Amino acid sequence: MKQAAYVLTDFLEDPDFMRWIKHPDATQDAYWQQFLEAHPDKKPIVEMARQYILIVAEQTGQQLPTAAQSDMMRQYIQKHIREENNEKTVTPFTRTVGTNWGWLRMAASIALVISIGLGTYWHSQRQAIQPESYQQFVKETPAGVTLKETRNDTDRPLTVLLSDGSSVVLQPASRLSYPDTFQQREVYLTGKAFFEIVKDPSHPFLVYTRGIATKVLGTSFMVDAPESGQPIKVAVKTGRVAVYALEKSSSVRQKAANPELSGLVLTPNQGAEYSIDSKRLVRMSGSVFTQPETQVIAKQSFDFDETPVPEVFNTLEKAYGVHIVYDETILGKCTLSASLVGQPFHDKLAVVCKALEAQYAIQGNQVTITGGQRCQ
Amino acid sequence: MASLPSSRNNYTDQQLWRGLREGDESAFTAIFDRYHRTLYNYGNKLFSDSALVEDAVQEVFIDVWRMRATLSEEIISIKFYLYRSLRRRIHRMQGKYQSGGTIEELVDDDSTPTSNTEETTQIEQESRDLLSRRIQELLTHLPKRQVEALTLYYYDEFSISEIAQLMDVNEKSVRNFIHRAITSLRQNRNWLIGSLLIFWLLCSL
Repeated sequence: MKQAAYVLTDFLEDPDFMRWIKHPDATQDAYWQQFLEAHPDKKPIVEMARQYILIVAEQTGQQLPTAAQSDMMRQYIQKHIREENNEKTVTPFTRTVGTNWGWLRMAASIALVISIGLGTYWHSQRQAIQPESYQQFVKETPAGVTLKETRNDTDRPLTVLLSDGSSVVLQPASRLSYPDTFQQREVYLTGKAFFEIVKDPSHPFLVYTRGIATKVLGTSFMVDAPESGQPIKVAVKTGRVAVYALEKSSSVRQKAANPELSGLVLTPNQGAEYSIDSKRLVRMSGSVFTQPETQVIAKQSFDFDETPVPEVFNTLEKAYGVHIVYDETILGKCTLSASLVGQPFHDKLAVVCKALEAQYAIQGNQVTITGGQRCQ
Repeated sequence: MASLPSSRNNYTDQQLWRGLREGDESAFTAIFDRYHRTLYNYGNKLFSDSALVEDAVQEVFIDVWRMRATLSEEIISIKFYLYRSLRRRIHRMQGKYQSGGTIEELVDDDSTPTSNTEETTQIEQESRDLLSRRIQELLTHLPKRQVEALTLYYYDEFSISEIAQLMDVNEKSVRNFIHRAITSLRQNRNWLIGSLLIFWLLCSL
């Protein structure tokens, strides 16, 4: 303590003094003994300060839970973490729900599957621009369903929103064919894209590329199927997928519907490679998202912890190639804590807007955020 | 589950944290047992509805478990981590019921501590009981943030810099909260003794 008049508050606000009072030890005893010998007149004040500290500590610590409350809390927590452990094995991907804290919990469980990565490398057959599997895809599309094609001729990622709420971030020089409205969730990709698929176990989502079909329930993953004869890669970020080799003779749909047939189910942190020569899928290990050419969105964790909202929007803008318009005077100082990995673009926006008490509208590649609570 | 001994009482925070990150449920339970009581006590300084505080404490621990895979490898203080999580959670909750702090609390931030000129060196004869009752009474009248700072400092024994980070203010403000609270406790002493005396006189009439 500094040399001063040593009033009561000096002692009360001195961390060393407090530590001595609450946890005396020989070193501190010696120090304060010496102090009192030098200032014998301070003895009553020191005694008073001791009383204050002990009493304030005692009085501010009067709201401990009872043993019964502790037991209840422990049981509640254990019940929930057990449930969560069980859920996790069945549904690795869960959609946003609208309960008060539900989405936060959901986000937390999704965060567990961050960095789950697996990949399949597929050496494709050298084929024409419109490969056989595409023609087959078109041919097998049910009558009455109009196919739409989105091409990304820009040099930035382009987000395609599908009718089931799933989103696809299409990379430059890539194109995606998909039905206007889904009867069966099937799309055809040429090029490179990152998929975030709405979970719907009764309607599996199929991505066809030249040579392979990728079947998923709800998950996020990357497919790289170059037009040239380079290998096709499938990299899954969250959830689980099955990859099937497509042979000329058999229908892709029959294949995909029959998981026993030459399909390879890939689990977290696994990858696979297809060798055209040996005609078989081989498991690989190692992260597929660390390669430099990997898309921004595939690497992005979407894990926000007290992140300023402008930064959150900036992350979304970069990942989805959109422009987000919002009132910076209202939301500029807000922060967001949420883990949004694996969720489709709509769901991400819904979670963000729910947290901010705002609304969103998508028009082309522009997202407009309205409303929201002003943050200080 | 890792095959660690069943008694975790002597484990360091770092050991428990490592166990938690590896998905060891008994390490998680040990963390809960070690910290939930004081955490709950702290929560009650932030929010007066103890049922909601109980919910918030539960959610904090459930989140810790769910986020275990993404938690940082090294932790300086699990206690600090838990307190910060609880405070953020309760503040988000509060946002739904009220907006912002009271003016009185906001003023505290920048005002300088009042110098304590009337400090006396007289021997205070107050009994510990009386002092205890008086402080208990006065704590209910102090602004919430002063009580929060007092709790974190005297009961939970966080450092001023930790309290500043928890409360989202600078260290000077934390010192002000504590100083003002203590000054109030001191200044109200005579008034309270006086009123107790009057009360006693009235009763004895």
